[in-house]
Amino acid sequence: MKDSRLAHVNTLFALTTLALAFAATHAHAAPKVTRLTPPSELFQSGAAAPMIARFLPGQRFDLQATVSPDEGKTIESFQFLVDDKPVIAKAGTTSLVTTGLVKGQPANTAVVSLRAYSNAAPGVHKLTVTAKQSDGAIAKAVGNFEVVRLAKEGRPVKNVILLLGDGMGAAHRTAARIVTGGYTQGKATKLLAMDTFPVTGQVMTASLNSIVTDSSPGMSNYVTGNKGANNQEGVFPDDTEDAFDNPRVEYLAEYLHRTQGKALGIVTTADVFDATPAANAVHTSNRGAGTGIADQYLDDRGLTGLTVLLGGGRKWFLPNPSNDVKPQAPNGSQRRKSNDYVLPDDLVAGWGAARGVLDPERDLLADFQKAGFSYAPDRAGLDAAAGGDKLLGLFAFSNMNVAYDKIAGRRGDATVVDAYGFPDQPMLDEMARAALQVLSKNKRGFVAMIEGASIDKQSHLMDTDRWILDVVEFDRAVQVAKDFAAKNPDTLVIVTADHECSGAAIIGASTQTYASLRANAGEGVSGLRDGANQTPPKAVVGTYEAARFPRYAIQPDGYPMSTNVDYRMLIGYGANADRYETWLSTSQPTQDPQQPFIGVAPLSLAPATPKERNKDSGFLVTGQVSGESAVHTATDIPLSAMGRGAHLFTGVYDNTDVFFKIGQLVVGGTR
Amino acid sequence: MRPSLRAAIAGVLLSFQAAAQQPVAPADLKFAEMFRLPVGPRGLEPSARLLALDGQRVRIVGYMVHREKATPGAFLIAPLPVLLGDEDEGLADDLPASSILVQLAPRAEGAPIAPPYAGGLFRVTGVLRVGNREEPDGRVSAARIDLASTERHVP
Repeated sequence: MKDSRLAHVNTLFALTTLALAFAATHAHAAPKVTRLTPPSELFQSGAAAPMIARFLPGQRFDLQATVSPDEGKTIESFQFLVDDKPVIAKAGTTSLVTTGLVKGQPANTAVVSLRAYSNAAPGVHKLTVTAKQSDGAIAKAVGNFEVVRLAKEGRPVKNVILLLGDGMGAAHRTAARIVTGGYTQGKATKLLAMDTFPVTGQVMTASLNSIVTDSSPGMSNYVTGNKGANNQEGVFPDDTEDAFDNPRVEYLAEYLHRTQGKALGIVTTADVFDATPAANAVHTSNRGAGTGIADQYLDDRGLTGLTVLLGGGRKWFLPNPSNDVKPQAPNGSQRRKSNDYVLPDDLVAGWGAARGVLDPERDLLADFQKAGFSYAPDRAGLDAAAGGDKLLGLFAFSNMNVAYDKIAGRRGDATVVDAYGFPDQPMLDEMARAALQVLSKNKRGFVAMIEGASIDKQSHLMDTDRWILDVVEFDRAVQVAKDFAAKNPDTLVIVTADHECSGAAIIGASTQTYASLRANAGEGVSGLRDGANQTPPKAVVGTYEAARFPRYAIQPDGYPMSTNVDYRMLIGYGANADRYETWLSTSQPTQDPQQPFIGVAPLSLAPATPKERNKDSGFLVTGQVSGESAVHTATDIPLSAMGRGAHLFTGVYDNTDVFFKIGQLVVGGTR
Repeated sequence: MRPSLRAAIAGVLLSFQAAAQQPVAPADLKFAEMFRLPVGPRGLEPSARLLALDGQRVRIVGYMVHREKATPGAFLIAPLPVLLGDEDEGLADDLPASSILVQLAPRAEGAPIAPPYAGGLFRVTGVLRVGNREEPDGRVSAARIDLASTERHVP
């Protein structure tokens, strides 16, 4: 090496050292990227794995970063780069927002966005954001995402039916099997419909921010392919207060409607604004924003292909034009400006989404009808409306009554359904049949999500008999889907859950008759657990061989004549709050505070919480969790699949993997 | 909750009694009487009795709604115990449609206070106001009572 070059190198070394020293001295003052979306482990920790954000080829999602400038400075401009090449944004699809941010952000923090980006090239892509501060300083951060490669393998799946038993773990399925068929000499005498599916997998259910998911990401992870945060639907977290401006990720239904013209059907026994149904079509970080969620179902039907919407939740569809001068007569509407939505310009331009209006006075029910939806207010109406091309059914003011009480009503004891004000509610299998009848009119196929919602809600309440019958109801809907797939072989049917709820476990069976259990009421631990009042004393919970094989008599309607049978199956809860256990069913449901007529006798006599239920007759089972309800667990849940491409669903996999398996089958096809 | 604490909280509620005595005996209203059953395809329909009592003195028994963020100058009474998770749920509440907002009389001095939560049944007496109204906290109340008095109710 010549001396002159050596001197040059030495000079460079000295300058570099000086620069590094300067950077170290002033590191604390540099503008900083505090969030980069889509989320990646590369950005968070510097590790290359695991890959957090994955997308189907061409699936749309937003790019976003939060940038905190130095004190007294502002962020003036920004740029996203993918694989070191600037992303060219379409006109109007970017924004730099410095107002309306969540508390705790440094002054002048900016949230910068580029909406509705997509990438068709399979592989891992480097994502870079740069932001220029007012003094010229540059903030920069690097993350990554993956576009999953699909194989071209043959005939694609036309229809996807995703049946989701909310909160339904393995124990919930087993309990329903024992009740509906029972066992003899160790063999099940009759399988559930979901048991007959040829393929079974095991699903990991964590959300973006917890090992224990709630129902929002529990559902949306299946239909976006990406991890969402708890309470959020179809979006990534951000640092603004607005619940409807979060960075979006395209839903399965949106992707398939845009690329293939498929229709979307949503069927639930819950209020239709509840987390699971909404997490198929609505983009919000607030699962409780009822007015906006209900509106967006209709407003963005052009994006989602929404064709069928069945469930409860009539209260969000009724106009509330009230004002201080002339309040309207109450109609039960809970529409409010404060949980409605208006989208920012860049989101509207990027996604082609409806802007939205803060309009509690909107008659959403009438707007659905104007858009061509037939409206069914009850079971009789459902039968009539199912002949149409689009279907809206709102069968209750909020959540629908559970199967236990609906069936009682059909058998002549309509006390509960009458008192709630909705005596003619359909069962889930009837709703599923009507939905598939309408959806199958679309020659390009459909995506249907059918939810047994109160498996979860009754598990939270630890109301054993009510969640078991809701699993039975759900399985009857599974049979409807199975029958449809038999006639339409281009259909994939998946049965799973979003998470397990309550840590339910079948701990054995009663060693006593129903009459004896009733006689034990009020006897506390001594009588109801230890059986000290028996001669000789005999533990009430029969474990191992003492459990034997409980028997339930099934009626022609498919449900047990009674759950209060002799030597009945007994359930324990591993994620329970305090409760009083009698081992018997409660004749009335634990009160659902979303229902309007809870004060009507005899519901006014119903126990308000699991803790109060059976307080005088049961024995206290101390809970591990505080509060009144059992909680979701992080336990893996089973998945059953049948139909075209079902073979892909074996093994243990993440809930987001389900999305890519479906994508392979519907886009790439299968042999 | 300890009995002594309940008594103390009940005492606070009793302190909200209006000064003026109303001459006419209040009409007893039940939550079950407020709307027609079954629910119609287009929502709730107020009963003739509810509408007839609009502007009249009524007496109703219910539970004080337990809220994470109590509202100054008012509380909700419902036909069952309700806990509103204001922080988590925003304004998408679990409130029965027949719940009633109980408006406290303005204080002679100082800002309105948020009444502390108390469990158990209460009998509330005051003038009934019927009609949807969005309250300062963003909720829609279907009916309100301008509070005259409250007392514990023992079934």
